[in-house]
Amino acid sequence: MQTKEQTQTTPADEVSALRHRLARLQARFRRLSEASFEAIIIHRQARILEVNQAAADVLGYERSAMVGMDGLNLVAPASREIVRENIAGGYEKPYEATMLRADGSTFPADLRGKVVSSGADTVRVTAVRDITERKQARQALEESRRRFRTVADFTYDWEYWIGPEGEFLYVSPACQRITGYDRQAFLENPQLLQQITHRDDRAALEEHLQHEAKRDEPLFLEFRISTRAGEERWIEHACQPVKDDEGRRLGRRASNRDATDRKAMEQELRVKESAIASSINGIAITDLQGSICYVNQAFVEMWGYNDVSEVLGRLPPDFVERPREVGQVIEELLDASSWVGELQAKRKDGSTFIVQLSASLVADAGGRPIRMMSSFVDVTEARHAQRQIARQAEEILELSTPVIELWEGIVVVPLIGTLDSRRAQRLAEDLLDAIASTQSDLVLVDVTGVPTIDTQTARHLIETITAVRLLGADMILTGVRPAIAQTIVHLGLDLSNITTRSSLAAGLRVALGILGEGM
Amino acid sequence: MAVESVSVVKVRDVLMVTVPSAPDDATVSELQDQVLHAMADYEAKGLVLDISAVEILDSFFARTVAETAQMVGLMGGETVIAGMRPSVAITATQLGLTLGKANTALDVERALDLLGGL
Amino acid sequence: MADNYEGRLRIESEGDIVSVRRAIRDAAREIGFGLTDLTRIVTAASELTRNIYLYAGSGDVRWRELNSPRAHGIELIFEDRGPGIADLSLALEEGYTTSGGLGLGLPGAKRLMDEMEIETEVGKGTRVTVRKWRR
Repeated sequence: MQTKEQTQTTPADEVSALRHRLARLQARFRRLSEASFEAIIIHRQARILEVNQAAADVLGYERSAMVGMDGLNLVAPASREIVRENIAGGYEKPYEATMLRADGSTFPADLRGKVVSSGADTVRVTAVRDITERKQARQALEESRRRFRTVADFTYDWEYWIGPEGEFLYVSPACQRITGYDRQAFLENPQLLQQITHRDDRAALEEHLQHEAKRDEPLFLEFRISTRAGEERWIEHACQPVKDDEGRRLGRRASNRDATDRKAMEQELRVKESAIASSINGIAITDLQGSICYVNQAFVEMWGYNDVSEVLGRLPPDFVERPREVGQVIEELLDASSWVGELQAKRKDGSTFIVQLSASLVADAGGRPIRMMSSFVDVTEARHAQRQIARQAEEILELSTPVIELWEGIVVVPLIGTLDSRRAQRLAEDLLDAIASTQSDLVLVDVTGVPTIDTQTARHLIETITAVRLLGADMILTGVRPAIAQTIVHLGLDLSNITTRSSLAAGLRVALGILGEGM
Repeated sequence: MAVESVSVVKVRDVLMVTVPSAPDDATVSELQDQVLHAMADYEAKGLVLDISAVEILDSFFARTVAETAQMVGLMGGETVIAGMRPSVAITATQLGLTLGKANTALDVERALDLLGGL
Repeated sequence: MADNYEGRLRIESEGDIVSVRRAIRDAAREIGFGLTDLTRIVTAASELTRNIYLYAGSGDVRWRELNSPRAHGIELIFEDRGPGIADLSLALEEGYTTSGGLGLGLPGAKRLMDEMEIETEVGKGTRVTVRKWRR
């Protein structure tokens, strides 16, 4: 020991000086600790040496009461073990524990201890922070994050969030349904989307992904992918940038929808459209007011126009000879949902033709009629042919009802073949006209060539005889076969005043006899 | 209401009436009236009713004609309906009309012949 | 159905029967009926009009052209507020003709036309609808 000065310092003086120094340091520490907002507890192996006011406040004790206390009494039983361990182990990292107040209530806290030694003396300074609020805030955040994930996870469409570096930050579980790959596959492999894209669409997708990184507005793209199972699917993709509150780019959010069904329908429609457009039948579609909203080329040509623009927007009555008929057709169509028939159509140049029309109502998904659609076939030629045949049939009918003026005063009608109601009526008219024009008193109707007649025809025949009589002439029926005789008798008709003979010859003899009498 | 006049003429010893084309009921009744008066006045042997101009023959006409024929018969005469048109004959037959006692003839000439022989 | 009647006449007196005949003859001729059918139609109309006059005193006759793309014809409607027909089946019986001055001549009119419909209520009136089609 060197003594420089002759100041005599005794060991007792040194101790006293040290004690003063310690006291000053302690005071200084106390002042510092008082200023601290954190609760500070100084203890030796949990035996409390000193506390600051904040500690007393947070734990609900009087300061003086705490000194000398077993610090573990301030810890909730559930956390005591971990605290004891950390104290014993000199753990200096922050950890959470539940503290116990004087009134028995607990609160979650952050604890951080530091070992302070001076010489052989070791104390621990522990800061205690009440984290109730922070814990609540954390729970709220967790809750909202969970809710968000629920919304995002349960969206039907496949949602993803690509970060600024091109990595997947979030992938919704719907990706599995749409692509066959689960979200993990995408998170692990950021290139997966390009890899499953159809070869022909890949270039477009690459360009899109490059573009979207730089652009701010929403972008759209349609592309095909191959699912894990090898199925081809159409994806409708819409994406837009994600920005935080300060406007910093946090990447891009995208929504991907399976558009396979819609695409298939579009294809179907295109096929049908093409079928209608190329049909050789004229096709026209009108709205419910009748205004034409579509015609195919065949329609345009059939009606002698040059372009669809000449037809669109006009009303159907313009295209037929008798406009009133259109109203009737539409009325019946609305009533019965379909209509088939013929109309006389009118071309651009005013000429007419006969058209066969098949019309139907087109309804929306709910069953409500929204359009009327008609298909047209030009049947002019066919009808002309039919009319020719009908005319020829008429002529044949006429031929088969020949009225022969045998000589003055006698008319003979030899009938051949079936005598139906229509022919019988025709016979009556022709016969009476012949009687009036030839001024014949007698008419012979020979039915040798008629095998049978029905009751209606028999009635007509009897009526004819009556009519002939009204004119002032008389009729003889010859060649009545057994079958016809039966029909007439079964009808209960009174033939007593009708002259009949079994053959034409016999009838002629009677006729001549009658005529002879008159002369 | 057009009153088409009906005239009754005496030809030889029979009465002749030419019926207009579309007589209304009043004209038809008038016809019957005039015929009966004429029958009394002229003591005719018969009546020729020329209906060659008539287009429509309905039940009233037929009834009146049948009645007239009956009355003429009661007064000692015969009635002949002459010149019925084919279309009228067909319709009348279908309707079931009858002319009662009246005879029929193709035209007026034959009608007169018929009455002459009676 | 649209009330697109082309003709209509009021029956109030005997003389109206001739007016009806004339009007319907013109209408039927315009539609294109032949002479015999024309005669049938006008005769039937005459009978049915006479019915209105005889049994109800007054009534209406309406007619229109039946012009659908499928067929061509005429429709006549005879309507009155008369006593109605008590026994319709009897009135429609064959043999119940007008020649004797009895009955309504309905079977006869039916024979002359192609279709006939009768609506009648005792005390309320009668409506007879007839149609004929061009062959």
